[in-house]
Amino acid sequence: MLRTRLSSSAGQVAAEYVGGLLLVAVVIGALFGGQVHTKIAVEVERAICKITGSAHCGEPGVPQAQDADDTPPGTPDREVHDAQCDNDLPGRLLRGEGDNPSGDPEADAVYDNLGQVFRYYADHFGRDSYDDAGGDLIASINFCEEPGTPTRNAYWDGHQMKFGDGYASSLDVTAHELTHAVTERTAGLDYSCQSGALNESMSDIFASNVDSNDWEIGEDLPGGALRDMANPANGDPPQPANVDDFIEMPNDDNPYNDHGGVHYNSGIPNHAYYLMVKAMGRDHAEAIVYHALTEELKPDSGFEDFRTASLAVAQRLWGEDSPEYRATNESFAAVGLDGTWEAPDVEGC
Amino acid sequence: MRTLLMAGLALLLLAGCGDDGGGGKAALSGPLTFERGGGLKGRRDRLVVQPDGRAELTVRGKTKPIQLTGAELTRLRSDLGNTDLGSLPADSTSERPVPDAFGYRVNYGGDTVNTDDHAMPDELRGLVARLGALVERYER
Repeated sequence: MLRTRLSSSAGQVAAEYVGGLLLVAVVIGALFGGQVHTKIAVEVERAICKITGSAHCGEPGVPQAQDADDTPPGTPDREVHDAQCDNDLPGRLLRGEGDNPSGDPEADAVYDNLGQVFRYYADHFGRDSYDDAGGDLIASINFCEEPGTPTRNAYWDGHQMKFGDGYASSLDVTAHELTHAVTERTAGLDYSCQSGALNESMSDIFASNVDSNDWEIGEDLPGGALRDMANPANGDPPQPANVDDFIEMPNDDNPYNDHGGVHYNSGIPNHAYYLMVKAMGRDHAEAIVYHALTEELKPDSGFEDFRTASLAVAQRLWGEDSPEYRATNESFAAVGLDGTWEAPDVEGC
Repeated sequence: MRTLLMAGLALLLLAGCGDDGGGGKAALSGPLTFERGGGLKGRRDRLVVQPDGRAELTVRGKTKPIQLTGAELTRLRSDLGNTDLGSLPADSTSERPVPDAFGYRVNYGGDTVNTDDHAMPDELRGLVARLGALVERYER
């Protein structure tokens, strides 16, 4: 009787022990397997954001309000984080504004590159960061969309820059991504079809201005250059340089079509800009495009609108009889944009 | 007795770590199609994997046949088994396109999900990362 009771008691303890262990295992599995920890962090952040009164709290593709409080106007406020191959951002802070070099080559390179892009916009156009309001420049290096699997990409997500391993130290890539933020806050070019290709082109144009030693974009990336504004056919993938070769890709719900070929047809305005620089010098060409982007273009602007906007700026700055106006006209005409080009009828565009 | 129970529990937990999960349809009993577009580069990738590991990869407009290794096929089956495509919204994309983010389409067993880096459901990330890594491995 006593033995039975003892045995029964021991079995009950063991069962409770096993049950407890199972419960803990299930909870840990749910938290880390399902990335509940990430969701909790995101939801807490959104809740705080809403309490503090922001209009858009963590909604994808919607520009986020930035903390622009702790540096004087005209001074960058940079933060470089290590995402540690995770998607829980921004990650571990490696270097904040004014900090000594972190010792991490990519972190220090992107810190310097962010400063160079900031200075470019400030010195050339008096622009105070991407939003012209001193917005913080936040970057995460070693970013992985799926924890543990390296991401071979870089992008601006409306709030910060994300760099996969090997993508952060390239100056023109940083300038390209930060210019997406400038475009988002100015012309707001829709990211599809011709306006999307213009959006991409603006990023390449200003990337070529910041990293002005060559006409390639992304030449320092692990896979080599992505685009060549002097000769768009040399790009990877090759791009058209003239509207005669405009690539008709639908803007449907298939990601394979790149929102109507935004990374393909951008070769056309890219090449027009290259010709403008050759004809009038970079200082005047970049001023024309900057003012066109920030004052003339609209979300649905197309290639001919870009020509019209550029001519309007050239006329305003130098007059209709100026070499700049003529060079602008000729550069656009050389890529087939003479004010009469009619875009092909493409599905979804 | 307690030691035996603990050992049994450990075995059960270990066995659970290696299975194909649940919730999804039988892992890779028909063709799986993965498409990826965009990114900083403007990629256009398509990978079609057959149940026996034969596959067709299209990158830069060129299509070539490839053969996944046994280990790759096993891991892909596992990720697919852990992903119930039919339970995910067919349109899991951002409200507005995010410049230079990747867009993806996964089609398997009559279910199709469109998504992108910014709005991807967590349960799809493992499978998409696996397929993307296969594209990058075999594109060279």
